[in-house]
Amino acid sequence: MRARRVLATLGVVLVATDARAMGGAYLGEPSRVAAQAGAVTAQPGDAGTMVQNPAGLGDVTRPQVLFGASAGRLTLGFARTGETSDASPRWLSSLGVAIGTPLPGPWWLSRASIGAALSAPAGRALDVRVDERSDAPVSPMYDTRASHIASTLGLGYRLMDNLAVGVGLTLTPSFGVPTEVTYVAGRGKTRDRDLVVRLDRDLELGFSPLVGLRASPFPWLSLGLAYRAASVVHAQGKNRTSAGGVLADDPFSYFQMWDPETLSFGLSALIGEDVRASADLSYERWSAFRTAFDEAPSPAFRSVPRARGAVDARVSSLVRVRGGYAYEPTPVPAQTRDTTFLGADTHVLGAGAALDLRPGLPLVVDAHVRAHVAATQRATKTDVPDARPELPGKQIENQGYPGFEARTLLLQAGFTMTWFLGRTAPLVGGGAP
Amino acid sequence: MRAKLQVLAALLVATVTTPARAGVEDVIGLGPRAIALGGSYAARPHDFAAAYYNPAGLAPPRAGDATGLELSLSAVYAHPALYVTRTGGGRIETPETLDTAAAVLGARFGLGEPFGIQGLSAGISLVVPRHLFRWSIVPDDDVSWAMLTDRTQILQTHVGLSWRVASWLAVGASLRLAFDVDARIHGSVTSVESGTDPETGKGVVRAHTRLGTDATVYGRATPLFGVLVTPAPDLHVGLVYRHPSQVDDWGETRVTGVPGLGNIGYTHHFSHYYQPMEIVSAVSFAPASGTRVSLDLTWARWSAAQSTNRNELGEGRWGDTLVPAVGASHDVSPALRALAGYRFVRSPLDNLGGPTNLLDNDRHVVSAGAEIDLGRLFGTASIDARVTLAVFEMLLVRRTETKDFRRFASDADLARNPGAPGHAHGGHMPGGSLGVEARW
Repeated sequence: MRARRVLATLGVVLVATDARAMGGAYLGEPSRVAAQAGAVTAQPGDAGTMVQNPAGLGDVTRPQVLFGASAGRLTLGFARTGETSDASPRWLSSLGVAIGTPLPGPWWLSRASIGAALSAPAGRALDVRVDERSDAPVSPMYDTRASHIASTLGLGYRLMDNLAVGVGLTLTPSFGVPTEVTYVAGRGKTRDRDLVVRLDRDLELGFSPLVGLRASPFPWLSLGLAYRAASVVHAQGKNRTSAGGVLADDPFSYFQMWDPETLSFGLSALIGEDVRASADLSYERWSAFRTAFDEAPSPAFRSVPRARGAVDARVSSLVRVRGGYAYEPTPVPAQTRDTTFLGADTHVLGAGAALDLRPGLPLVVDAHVRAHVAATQRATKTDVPDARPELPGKQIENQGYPGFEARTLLLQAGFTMTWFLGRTAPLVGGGAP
Repeated sequence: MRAKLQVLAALLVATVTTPARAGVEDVIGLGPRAIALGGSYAARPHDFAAAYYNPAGLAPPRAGDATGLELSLSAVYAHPALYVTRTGGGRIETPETLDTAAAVLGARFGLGEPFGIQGLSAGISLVVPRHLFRWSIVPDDDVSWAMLTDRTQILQTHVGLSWRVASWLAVGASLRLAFDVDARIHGSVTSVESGTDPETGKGVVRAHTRLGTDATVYGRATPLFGVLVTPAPDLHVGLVYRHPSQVDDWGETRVTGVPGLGNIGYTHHFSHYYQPMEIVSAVSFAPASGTRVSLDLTWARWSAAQSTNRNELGEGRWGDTLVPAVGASHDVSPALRALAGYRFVRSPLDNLGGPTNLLDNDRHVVSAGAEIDLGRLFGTASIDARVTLAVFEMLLVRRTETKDFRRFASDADLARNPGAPGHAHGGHMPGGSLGVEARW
C-alpha cells in the first residue's frame, strides 16, 4: 500500500502530459480558476492565481506547492464560401508548477507572501508562426497564443486582516533569429561545405507587470481589482542570403500579442456557510493588437468587456463542486478586407470539483473540464485589393475570398494538486473558498 | 523492500534518457555556496543545488526529518576579460564574450509527507539570464571561444527527486531541462533591382523579399542520477552520473521566385553547447568541529564531443578530462561561516594546428565566500535564513597554437584561415554571487 502511494505520487508529479498552467500563459490556469471560468479576482488566492490577482498571495499563510496539468482538444474549422470545411484539430496541453510562501521573520515581514509560477507546454517552449501572406487565415486567440513558456513572480502583502495588495511580473519569451548565409564557391571540398552560415539565436525576456487589491468589507463579501499590462513580444532579425550574385537581405519584425492589457473587477459573496458566488467584469484592450508583421490591422481590433460568473459549493467535508460561465465578445472586426482573422463571440463553460483531504492529509486535488464554444464567424470579402492592377479587370488572390465561415471549439480537462508543506495543514487558500 | 525497489524503478523510469545542455552551473556554479566551495558539492547535500550536483542530496538528513520548504534566491555575475593575439602581433577579433548576469531561483521541499512517506523530497533550480537563451553559430574556422562565449546565456532548469532509502543511503534523479530550436524561414521575392552589397561593396542583384517564419522552440531534458552514502555522521560519499547533452538547431530557409535562379535557400543542422557525459565521485568529511572539507573528481567524456558544425573541419580535437575540485568551510562564529574552494579545469581541446579555431584554455578557479545565519545574527528563532556571498577568479592559462601546413589542403587554404599563422590566447574571468536562503 505504501509503495502504491509512492508510485502514485511519482506518477502524478512526473507524468509527461503537455498543457499550460499557472505561470501566465493563455489557457494555463489552475483547475480552480478554469472550473469557474476565471471569475476569481475577488476570491481567496494562492500561488497559482497570481495572474488573476496577485493580492491573492496575501492569503498564503503557509508554504504551498502546486502541480498542475491540462490537456485540450482545439478544433479550428475554416471554409471558404462554397467549399468544405478545413477543420484541423490539435492538442493543447502543458504542465505547471507554483510555489508560494509567507516570509519568515517579525510580524510585519510575515504579512508578506511571495510566489513563483512556471508553466510550460511539454512539447514546445515557444511557437512563432508568421505566414508570409498577410491574407492567410489566422486565429489570434488560439493559433500560437497557448504555445509558449511563461513565468510569474509575485508579492502579496496583508495590510490589514481584510485588505491585501499584490504586485507581480509575468515573463514571456521573444525570439530573434538574425541569420547570414553566404555561398563561397570552392571554400570546402563539397558544395554543401561551400555554405557559410552565421546565425544568432536570441530568446529575450519580456516583462508584464501585474498589480492587484483584495478587500473584505464584510466577512461574507470580498472585492477584487486587478490590472495586468499587455504581454507582447517582438521577434526581430535579419535574414541575409547571398548566392550566385543574388543578395536577399531584408530585415523582419514580427509581433505577437500573448495577452492584451486587462483591468478586472471582481465580487465574491458567501451565501450561507457552504456556497460562494463570484462575478467578474474585465476590460481587455485588444485595440492595441497588431498583425504578425507589426502593422496596424485594417480594420483595427476593438477592445472588449468580458463578464464571468461562478458558484462554488461544499457538498461534504471532503468534496466541493463548482461551475462557471463567461461570455467573451470577439475583438475581431468584420473581415471584409485583405486580412483573414478568425474569431467570434465565445461562450466559456467550466465545471469542476475539489477533493480537500485536510486536515488528515495536507493535500487538495482540484479537477476541471472547460469548453470554449464560439459562434460561427461569417465574413464576406467586399473590399479586397486588386492583386495585379496592371491587368484588366480585378484580380483577386485573397485566401478568404469571396467569404468564409469559421468555427472554434475547445474542450479541455485538467487537474491541480496543492501540497501544504509542514506537518499541520493550513485551512486557508488552495481549493477552499 | 519491495516498496524501495518500486521507488527506485519509478525514479529510473521517470528520467528515461533524453538529451539537454550546458549552462551557468557547468561554467561557474549553481548558487553562491557551491560557487564559493569551488564546485566541490556532490558530497555536500541538503540544499536545492543538489538537483544539479547530486540529486540524492535533496533528501533530508534522516528519513523522519520533515523537509518542509526551502527557497533560495541569488544573483550571479561574471565578466570575462579575454584576448587573442596573432603570432607576429595584432589582435584577432572574436564573437562577443558576454558578461554573465543571471538570477538563480531554488526550492527544495518534501513530497512524501502528505502521504505519510518519509524521506521523499524534490528540488527545483532555475537559472534565468537576461536572455532565456542566446547563442551564436559561426563556422569552426572563425576564431571563437568554444566554452565561454555564450554557454552561460541560457535558461537552465533542474527538477529532481530524491529518496532516503536508509539512514546511510539516499538516491536521486534529476532532469535538466533546456531547449532545441527548429526555425523555418520562407519568403517570396517582391521586387528586384541592381545594386551593391552593403557589406562587400560588390555589384549584386538585390532581391527584396517578404519573409514569414515557422519557428518552434522545443523543450529538452537530460537525466542525472546520484547516490549519497553516509557511513558515519560526519562522512558523505557521493557518486553522480550526468548524461551527455547538446542543443539541436535545425531548419531551412527558402526564398522563392528569384529571377534567373528560381529558388534559393539552404537547410542547416547544428549542434551547440555540447556537454559531455560526466561521472563525479566525491567525499566530504569533518576533520574538526565546525569544519568540513570536500573533494570532488569529475571525469568528463569530451572525446565524444562535436563542434557546433559537427566537426566538419576534422575530428580528433577533443579529449576526455579529469576535473579535481576541493572545498572547505569553517564556522568562524555561530552566525558566520567562511567558505573557500579551488578547481582545475583542463581544456578538452587539444592543439593540432589544424583549420579549426575553437579557443579554450586550462582554467584555475579560486573562490571564497561567507555565509551569515540571520537568525543567530539577530538572536531570533523566527528567522531561519542565511545570506551567502561568493567571489571567484577564473584564470585562463595562456595557450599558443601554430598552424601546421600539413593539415591544410593547400597553401591558399592556410593563408585564408582566420587563425593563421598562429595565435595566443588567454585571460581571466572574475565574478561573484550573492544570495539569500530561507527555510520553513
